[in-house]
Amino acid sequence: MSKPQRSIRLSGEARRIVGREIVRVTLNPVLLSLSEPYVGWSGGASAGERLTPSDLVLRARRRFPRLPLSWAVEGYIALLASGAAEALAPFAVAPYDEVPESVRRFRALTPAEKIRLGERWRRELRAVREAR
Amino acid sequence: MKASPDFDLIRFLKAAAARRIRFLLIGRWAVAQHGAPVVTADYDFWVDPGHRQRFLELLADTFDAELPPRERWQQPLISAYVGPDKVDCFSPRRLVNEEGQELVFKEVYARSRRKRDAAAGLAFRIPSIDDLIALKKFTQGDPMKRARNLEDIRYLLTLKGDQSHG
Repeated sequence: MSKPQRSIRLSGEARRIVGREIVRVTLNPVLLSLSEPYVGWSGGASAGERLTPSDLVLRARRRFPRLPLSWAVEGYIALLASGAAEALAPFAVAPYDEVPESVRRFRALTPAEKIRLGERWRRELRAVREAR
Repeated sequence: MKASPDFDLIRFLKAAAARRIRFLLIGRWAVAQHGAPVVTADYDFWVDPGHRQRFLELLADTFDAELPPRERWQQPLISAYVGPDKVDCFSPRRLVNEEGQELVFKEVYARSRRKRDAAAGLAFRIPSIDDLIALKKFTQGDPMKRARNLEDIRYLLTLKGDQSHG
């Protein structure tokens, strides 16, 4: 029996971390069935409190940063189904997540904006030094 | 020291591009371009040895920089001063860092990343993360410089890891 596949449109953080807008994951049919109470595969209002597929991918990638994406998603579904909340914590925090929000905002600036901000910091630093 | 205004990096980068001078922005300004919010007072450039003269002339003519006498412009490291700012021009063909890694300008330039900001009309090049890390392994025994470089290397390794995960 071939394993079912799901195409998932990623949004926000998931898209940033995975680096793609749409991913296709191949899942064990038993795990896919077990995921139904936790993942709103069809989206819409019926999804309720369940994870969106995009959030599932995000959490799976954080929990298993070094596994192929499909394996990571399967692993995360298995942990969800096991009910062990502590096991859902990221196994290894990806460097991107270690970077504070202020740094991530800096990284989003254009080259010229980075230079202008750096020059402003430099002027402020010099002013502080001179004020001593 | 002349009472000239601060060094305007954006203006300089545009002027150097207009004159087709081949160089890399290195040092902390390059680290910042890779995404690390670091601050520095100095400006460091690694200039193609064949373009050194043009680079220094631009600093002298357009930016009113204080430079050593022209007979010393063949040296591989020239420090210029623009107002209160120090601008270092490195121009050796090759460097060997403290770990014995050899860095050849042509090769580093070929691996470099082009930073382009269409809105600002700006385009320049910075070394790749790996090359910038290697370039950070020059401290000349200065403990303060070593500390700053280690901090920069940590940032760059984090950014590199981020990219490999992305």
